[in-house]
Amino acid sequence: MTVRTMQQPAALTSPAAFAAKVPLAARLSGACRTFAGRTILAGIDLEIPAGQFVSLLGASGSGKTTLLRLLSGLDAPDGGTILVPRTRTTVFQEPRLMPGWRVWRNVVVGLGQGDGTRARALAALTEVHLAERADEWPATLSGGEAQRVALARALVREPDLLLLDEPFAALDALTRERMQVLVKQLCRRHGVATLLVTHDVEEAILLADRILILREGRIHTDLDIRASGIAPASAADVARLKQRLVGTIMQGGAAP
Amino acid sequence: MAEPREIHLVAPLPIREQAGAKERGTLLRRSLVPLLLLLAWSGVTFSGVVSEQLLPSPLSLGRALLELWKDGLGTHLLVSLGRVAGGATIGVSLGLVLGLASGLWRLGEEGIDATMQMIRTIPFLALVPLFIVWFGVGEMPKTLLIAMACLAPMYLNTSAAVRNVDARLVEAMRSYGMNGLRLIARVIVPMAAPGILTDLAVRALEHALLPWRKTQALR
Repeated sequence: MTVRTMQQPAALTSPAAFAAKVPLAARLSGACRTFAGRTILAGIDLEIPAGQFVSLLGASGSGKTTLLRLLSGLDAPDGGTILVPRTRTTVFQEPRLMPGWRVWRNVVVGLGQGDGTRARALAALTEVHLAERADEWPATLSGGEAQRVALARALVREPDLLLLDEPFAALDALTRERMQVLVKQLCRRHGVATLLVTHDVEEAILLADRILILREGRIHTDLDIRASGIAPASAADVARLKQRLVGTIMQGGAAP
Repeated sequence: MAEPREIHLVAPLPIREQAGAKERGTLLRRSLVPLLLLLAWSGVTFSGVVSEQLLPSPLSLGRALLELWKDGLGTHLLVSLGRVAGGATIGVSLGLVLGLASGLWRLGEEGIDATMQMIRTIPFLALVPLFIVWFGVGEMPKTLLIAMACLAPMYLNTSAAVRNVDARLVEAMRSYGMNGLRLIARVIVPMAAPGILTDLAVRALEHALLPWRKTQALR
């Protein structure tokens, strides 16, 4: 697969981040994407520092998934530049596991003979509490379990950038809550920069260090919610922030 | 508010019947109609209502079969089946390779598909005279005819099965570093296999047997 992305560690440092000595896990400038004459992304400028958890919000059709696909290299931009780390992995909305491979083989898919060992798969599965299911077939897993295998598959490579495309959307409420806690915990532990595409504003607030809102093909809002003054400290704070974000998303007029 | 109505409660009847009880005697029930037909056939022929010339009785049919067997039907059958196996192997392999190429790559599809769609419309029996002229009446034209007959169905189903492999799964596998021959051999072909194998059993081999019966004419 050809990915129009390169990595130059030295060049991947913004002036601001350079001052703070934090390397960047992604940098986009003027990234555009057009589908059949319709502009989805009109020019995205974005820097994600290493280790940051970013939630990307937006009305349906606002281009959230399109942006994620540009970062993962699954799609190429029509213009602008995109720089991402070499090791980046994606968790999709569906688990997308190979039905004919046992769980542990699915986890280490694509890793070479030397790296794709069972021990390594087991270590990753232990992190998502599924080590005892390593030898089963994907069809025997529940939706939440399959998605946890997909998460293990993404983390076993120790990526510098983790891309999550609405990974909880198809799960029931209780499972979703557990998955959110697990993802937050694992992303912190691995110190991996994460971009979470979601339509669930509360989920975005719960997990993120920073929230982006995509509107009219651009990043309309860029909110560092861990910064002082915004950080939600109570349920009332979360509710207030949620209301504000929902308002911003809806003003775009893209959604009913 | 209305007075609550009295509700009569019943034990729910299972919608699916018990499998165990039904399995017993299934062979008998399946063979019932063929046996009845055989009985009717015997009745009609033995009673003399229909002459032996128009409809031979099961008994005379059996006798004829025995005679043919003594004449060496078994060895003829083996020769024919060997011919089918040879032709089918050629046709199925070629159809598989071409179907994979067409299903996997756009260039393959552009290069092969139109030709195969044309070949598929040729009634293979129309080729019999040509093949006899070209290859004589030996083994060659018979084997080639059988190969020709399974080539098209095998090609069509293989390319369709490859194209129908879940594109999202393939995309995910690519994003996890599977590509080239490894992607084809370990992801695409295994996912397409059920479709290919169904066709192999149902259509390609059926098509292999069809001209085999016709090629008896070449003996």
